[in-house]
Amino acid sequence: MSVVTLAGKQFEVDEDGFMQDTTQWTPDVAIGLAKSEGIDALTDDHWKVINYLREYYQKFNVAPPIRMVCKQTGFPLKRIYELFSTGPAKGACKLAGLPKPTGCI
Amino acid sequence: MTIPQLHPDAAAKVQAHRAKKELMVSLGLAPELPADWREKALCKFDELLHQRRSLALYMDICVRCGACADKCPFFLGTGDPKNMPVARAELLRKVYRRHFTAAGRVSGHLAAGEELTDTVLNEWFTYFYQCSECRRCAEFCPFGVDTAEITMAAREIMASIGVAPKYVTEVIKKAHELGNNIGIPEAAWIDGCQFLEEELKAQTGLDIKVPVNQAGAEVLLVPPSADLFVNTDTMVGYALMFHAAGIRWTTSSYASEAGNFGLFLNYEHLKKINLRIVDSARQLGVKRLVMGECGHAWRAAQAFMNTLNGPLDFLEPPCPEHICELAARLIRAGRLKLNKSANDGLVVTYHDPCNLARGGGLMEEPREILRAVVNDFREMPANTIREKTFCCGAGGGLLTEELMETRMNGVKPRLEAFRTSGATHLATPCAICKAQFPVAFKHYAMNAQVVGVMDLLGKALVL
Amino acid sequence: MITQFLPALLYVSAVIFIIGMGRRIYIWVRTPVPLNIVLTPAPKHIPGVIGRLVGELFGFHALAKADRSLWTPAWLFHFSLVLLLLGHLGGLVIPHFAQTAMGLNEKQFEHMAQIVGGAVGILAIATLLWLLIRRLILPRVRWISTFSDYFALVLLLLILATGNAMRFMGGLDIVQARNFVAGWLALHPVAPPSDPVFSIHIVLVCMLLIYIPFSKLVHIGGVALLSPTLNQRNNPREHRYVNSWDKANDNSTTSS
Ligand code: SF4
Ligand code: SF4
Ligand code: SF4
Repeated sequence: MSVVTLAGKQFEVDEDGFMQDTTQWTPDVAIGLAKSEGIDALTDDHWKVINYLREYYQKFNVAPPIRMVCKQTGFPLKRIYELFSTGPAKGACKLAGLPKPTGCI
Repeated sequence: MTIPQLHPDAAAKVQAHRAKKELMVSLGLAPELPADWREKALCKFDELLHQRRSLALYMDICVRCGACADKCPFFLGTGDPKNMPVARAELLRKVYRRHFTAAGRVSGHLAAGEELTDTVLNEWFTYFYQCSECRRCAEFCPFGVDTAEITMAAREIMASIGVAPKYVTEVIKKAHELGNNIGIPEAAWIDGCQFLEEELKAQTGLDIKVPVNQAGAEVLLVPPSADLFVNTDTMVGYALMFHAAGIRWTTSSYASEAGNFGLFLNYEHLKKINLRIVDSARQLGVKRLVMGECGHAWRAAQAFMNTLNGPLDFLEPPCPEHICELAARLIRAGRLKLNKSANDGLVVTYHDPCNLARGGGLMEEPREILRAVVNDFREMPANTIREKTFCCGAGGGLLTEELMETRMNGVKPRLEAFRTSGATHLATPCAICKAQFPVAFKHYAMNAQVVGVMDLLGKALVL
Repeated sequence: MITQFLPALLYVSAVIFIIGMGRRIYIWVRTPVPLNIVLTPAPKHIPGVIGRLVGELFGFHALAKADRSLWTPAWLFHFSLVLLLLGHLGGLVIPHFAQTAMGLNEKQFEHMAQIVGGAVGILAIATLLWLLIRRLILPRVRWISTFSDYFALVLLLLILATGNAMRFMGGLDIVQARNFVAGWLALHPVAPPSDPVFSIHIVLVCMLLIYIPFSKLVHIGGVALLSPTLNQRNNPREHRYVNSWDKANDNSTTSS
């Protein structure tokens, strides 16, 4: 486990750079982590995905099914991979401050 | 695949993240390496030697002929000699010889015995987590020495002294707490299934159910939770098939996972995870139990469930049944109307998940289905399919980021065979395989896709 | 001195061999097999299992699938070893019976033994050398080889060499040898043949007998028969397979 400093605040992240305590998330976290995912600047499209992930997570305590992300954001999967090259379950979740989805995925 | 030159220690640096204290404690395992870990480990080793003939026998009889050496995908992919099955087994065997045989106790190094030291433990954690327990080596051994059994024993010993990977333990914890590996709570499971029903309604105009917790349904289907989370076409395939055949089915939010990661850690958790499924079948009062597209689930269910959690006589045989067995049965009985040309344009080949083929003998039914639902189905070379199939490189608890190098090396023999087939689509009924292949295709810049068997069946169904 | 020493050594070695092997096999047999771990393609019924085991035991079936260039010397070596053992039995232990059973006169019998025994002796040593060279030149097999692997090969090589030497250099008096064997078996040991190679041969054999139960050579105990990946059936759904150390399954429905 390690600590990263984003926007002047310190956060604990796991080995893969996912936030340990999702309640500490602020938009600054996403902006700060974007670089590590190879994203220069977060666009509205990025935010659309991030916000949906957070909204769903707050309701269900888990990341949403990928197909639901596509449906709700209106982006086809290809577009989501353009936005987050490591995919919705990795990069997008990381920026949204969700724990890393694991399992057979 | 050509046999690589030896590259000693080529894979020595690739290691899984270790599980932290809290995680270990939550699974009832030692929180961290105790001061007397050596004695504890040897004690556990001794216990296992008394419990498992496979281990006792395979410690003694290997003749180091090397017939298995070039059969392991991880050796073929890395060239690291310690990834040769025989050498992997020797990592445990040398400690066995030192501590449990007369020759080793007397003559130590002459008998190739070795003390259990930090270095040895570190090697164990590296190389026993670069084995996917795929059992390909065992197929070629003159005595049936199954290195997967040795890997399992080594992992069980390590777990007992507080050494286990984060990935595997985290997944087991979620399976115990929430019923599935991804950690989808009941409300989200129900919501996800409803979402799919709406999607199906929009697509077909029909009321096709993706039921949850329907007591009294005929069939309890236990899919890998990944089928709801990412491989939704597979889930849709199940729903379409049950609808077309007029079978009342249900999923369970209590047992919403087929895959059993206990298989990758120890006997106790293997049994406990399986039990959820049996309990759920009993509670819902279903007549039959069907397992979804998952390789490891099939081994845990087909080969072990009756022993671990049985008798299963309250369910109709065959119990459990694989979704591919059921689908093939329905096709044979003419209960599904199929239009192959719906899958035209795809060139499909079939990847035998190790745990279906070698672990459970399920090899014909998926092919039967594919022949019935696609026009262009072809096989990969004969020494890479059926019981000789190559692992996807991510089974056995390796499907995690930090082992990416191992995964991308382990998948090489399979990809080479896939290339020769000239197919565009790799069909396979295993969630781990489905997660691994897209990454591998991208890594090796291959323009190919992985797809579930039921996905293709679903597309070809005429409703 | 050698008169007493050689038979005594043989008695001790034989006892160690029998007890050692018996103990090993007993430990394997007694150790439970908790789960069904049979390998595909697995038979559904007993005759299929028997067929599979016979194929492995006598044909080295899995090895044939794995590597023809290993299967060939390995199978030929084991085959010639079995023939040599039968030859020793027929030529030394029950020569009269063997001779009558084959319908040969004494001269013909000795002649046949000379030719067949000689040929098989050469085959055994050639295939064993083949295995040794393979172990030395194939990098991956060399990497996994331990001292004991070479030790076993060299020991066998010496036994075969001394055996062949007696046959081809003609120093051995076969009648003396038969008398020695008969005396030893009857627990009335007599002096060994005068040919010193014979004594060396016997000492080496004793070393082998003592070594077998404590090394990988225990595999001569027909271990494929005991291997759960080979001797089980693919029927865990039809027949509940019970784990002897975990019979009491907790099948009560959970309270939730
Ligand atoms: S094939 Fe069997 S006997 Fe030969 S080295 Fe491998 S495990 Fe040992
Ligand atoms: S079980 Fe599979 S991964 Fe493990 S050593 Fe054998 S061939 Fe390699
Ligand atoms: S993930 Fe699939 S291919 Fe890999 S070991 Fe498991 S079943 Fe085999």
